[in-house]
Amino acid sequence: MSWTGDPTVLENSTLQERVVERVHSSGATVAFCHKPGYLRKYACFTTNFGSVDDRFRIGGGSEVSLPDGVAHFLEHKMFEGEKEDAFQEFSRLGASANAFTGFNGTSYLFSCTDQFYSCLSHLVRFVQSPHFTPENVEKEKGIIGQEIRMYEDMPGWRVYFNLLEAMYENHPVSKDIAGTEESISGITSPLLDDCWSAFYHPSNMILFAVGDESEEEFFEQADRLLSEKDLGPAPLLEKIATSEELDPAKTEIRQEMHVGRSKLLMGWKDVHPGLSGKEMMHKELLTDLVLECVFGQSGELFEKLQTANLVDDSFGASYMIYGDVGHSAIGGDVAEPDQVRDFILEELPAILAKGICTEDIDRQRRAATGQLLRSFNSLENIAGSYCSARFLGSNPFEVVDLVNKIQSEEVVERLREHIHPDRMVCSIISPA
Amino acid sequence: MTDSAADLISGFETRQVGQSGQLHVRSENRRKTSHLNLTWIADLGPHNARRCLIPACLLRGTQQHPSQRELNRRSEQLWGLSTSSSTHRSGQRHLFSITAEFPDDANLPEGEAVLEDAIDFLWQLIHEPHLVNEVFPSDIVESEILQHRRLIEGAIDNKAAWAQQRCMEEACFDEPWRFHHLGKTDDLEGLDNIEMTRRWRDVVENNPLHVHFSGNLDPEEVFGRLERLFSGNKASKDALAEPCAIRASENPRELTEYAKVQQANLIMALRTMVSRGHHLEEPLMIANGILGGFAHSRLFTQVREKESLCYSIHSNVDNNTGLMTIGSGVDGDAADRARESILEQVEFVKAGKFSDEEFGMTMSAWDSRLRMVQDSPGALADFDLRSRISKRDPSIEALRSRIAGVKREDVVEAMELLHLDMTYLLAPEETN
Repeated sequence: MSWTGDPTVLENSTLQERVVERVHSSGATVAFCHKPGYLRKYACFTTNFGSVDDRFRIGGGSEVSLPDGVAHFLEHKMFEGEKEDAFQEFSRLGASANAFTGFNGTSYLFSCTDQFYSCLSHLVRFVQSPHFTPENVEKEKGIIGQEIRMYEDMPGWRVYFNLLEAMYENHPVSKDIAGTEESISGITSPLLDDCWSAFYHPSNMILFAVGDESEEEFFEQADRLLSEKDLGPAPLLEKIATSEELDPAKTEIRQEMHVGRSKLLMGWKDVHPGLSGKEMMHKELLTDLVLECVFGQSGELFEKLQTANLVDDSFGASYMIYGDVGHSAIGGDVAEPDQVRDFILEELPAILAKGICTEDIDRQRRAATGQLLRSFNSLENIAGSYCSARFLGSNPFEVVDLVNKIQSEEVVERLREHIHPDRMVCSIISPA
Repeated sequence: MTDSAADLISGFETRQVGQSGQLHVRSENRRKTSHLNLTWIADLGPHNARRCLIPACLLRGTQQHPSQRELNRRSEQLWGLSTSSSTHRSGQRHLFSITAEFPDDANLPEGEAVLEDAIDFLWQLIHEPHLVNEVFPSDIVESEILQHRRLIEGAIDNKAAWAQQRCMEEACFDEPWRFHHLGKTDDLEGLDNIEMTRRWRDVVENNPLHVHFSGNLDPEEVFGRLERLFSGNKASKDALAEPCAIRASENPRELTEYAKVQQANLIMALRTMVSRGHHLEEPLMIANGILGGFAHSRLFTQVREKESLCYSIHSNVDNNTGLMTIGSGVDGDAADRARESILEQVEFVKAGKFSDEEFGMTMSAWDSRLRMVQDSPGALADFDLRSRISKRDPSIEALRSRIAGVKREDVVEAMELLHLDMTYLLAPEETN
């Protein structure tokens, strides 16, 4: 096998970084970022199969509906080999390995200082050699059950997923990534086999590496490794999207837990089927800028909340975008969640009427550029940003230009479109 | 690795400033930002909470930018300069820090620079805070007292960390490391703005200060610019208490406490009898790695993977306190089995039954971990500081070399000194 077409170079003059990307004849996207001088090397093999992918069909066949938590369960079981688990070989090579499942993808990764290509071989081979048996699948349910219980005791996790549950009526983004003890009880080894065949074909995956290695050698080795196993033509995979209305499912969810401090999150939902690539990235950056100007710690609202002793430095805002939906989340650890929510609701009409001034936008642009420069110090962050952006059809290196091109008028327009008091959703965790 | 990489990694160059101040500088041209960390050192004790308020009050405003909002706006203007405060403990010492990260001038658009302004910003934070009639404004101090009280009360929200702290308090009830780095709410009683101002002046003048800088500049140039951060500091050599001796285990104790949780947290504290400078210090690090420090360790492969008793499990050794702690999140009903299984693994390592492969994997995992530290200025500064506090050679190369000399029999010798001291369980209420 070899490469399809010429390499694509993604780069940006402000960031002074470049990623070289090629498509392998197996279907895999392979990319490399050279970081001179770094001792650490990092690689990930990532599939575009996350917790939101709960329904699919192959080649126009019948629809397969998945129980919550399958992508995460599969991630756990991929480490199981016929003779030993995959961690052992990474340990022999002096590498540190891990994996994580998100809403849109599952990533297998390692970092090492030496024997990079031995580690890379092991990474590609173990992800392409599943070993599911009824016994090892049953055994894993106990371990994942404990993981689920751990999350149930984490108030920060609960307040976030309760917010999503209140926001979304149907969309699987509101489901816990690990599922529930009940939902995983029905997972079987044939089901994992089906999911692996559908979603772990190289055409649905990205192999990415970053570190002080030779670009030429990396692509040679990647070609060799991806050519070792012929997984046949790409399955005609069709992910079935779940439609979602703009109105929230519920206005609030409250939960009592054994906590010392209450937690509050407020937020708004976006529904944008068909949005992808540059438009999606633009929307994300624009909304981030709006949230930072309105709810950030240099804003008037935060100052008022802090003066009233209602919030502390844990208060903040963020925006997440996942294909056809997205949402903001604003809040933190607070003593009086109802007071904070009411205070913000009272202030919102004036904020919406006033809009956002050009000076604030310009300052946020400078801060965003500095933050981007910082983020490119981290190998994990480079890999994560690249894979997420590519799965959403965008180019991570366009961020700086997009931020600089944002117009004041569109910021104000976006503010009034997104922050809609009638559609606000609230999640509160309070002491039991 | 390219040939150039090894040449680029340099340790800190250190200059003594006064009797107890030290300025540590290293040239770093692999990253796009500079990293600056200021840490004052004190003894852990009943007034940790009051001390935590010092950096918090400093970050509320300066003479030039007399509110947190104005400070934040200035940070954004300085290309998103990030400033944060934190507190930690290291053995019997209390560390409280202010950390800043900002883009290197070479990465900014032509004509833009931030270095001088960033250093000046830090200097103002420490030496020219916002005062009214020469004291911190009372409303700011009251606000920070309230926020810190809430932070202490919120410590229980992280159940694993809470269980770890409770175990430490019970096991080490009269040793200095029992004090939580955030302190206790009692300590905040009666505190006012006059006392806080006195404490700020006292810390700046009398507590040993370490400043660590990593950035793309010639060290000589940086020394001159950063020395002013020490102005007024005349900490004496005997500013800190003499090192506290570590202790042997007496009769093993057990304590169970109950909370409204889904999962139990089991913490076991073992006395190691190995302190800093002891000839078995590095062998104990390897012993801990074989037992529970890595993904190939026995606690992970046996207690988690083989017996499916838990999701999270790890062990940690601290040669400042002479303690090894083993922590695990387990099902409440399985806590007894988990404890037995953990102790079986401790005995297994003690008996020297671990394989040559387990020993080899741990040796290379430690080596790799230490090399990776060199890619992160924050981690490197932390390693350097904690080494110096423990009167240990801060050279990573020296530690790698000592670890490389560890033999199997040294590991067994270190493990033989290990004795169980305390078993703490934070259990679900329904199991009571």
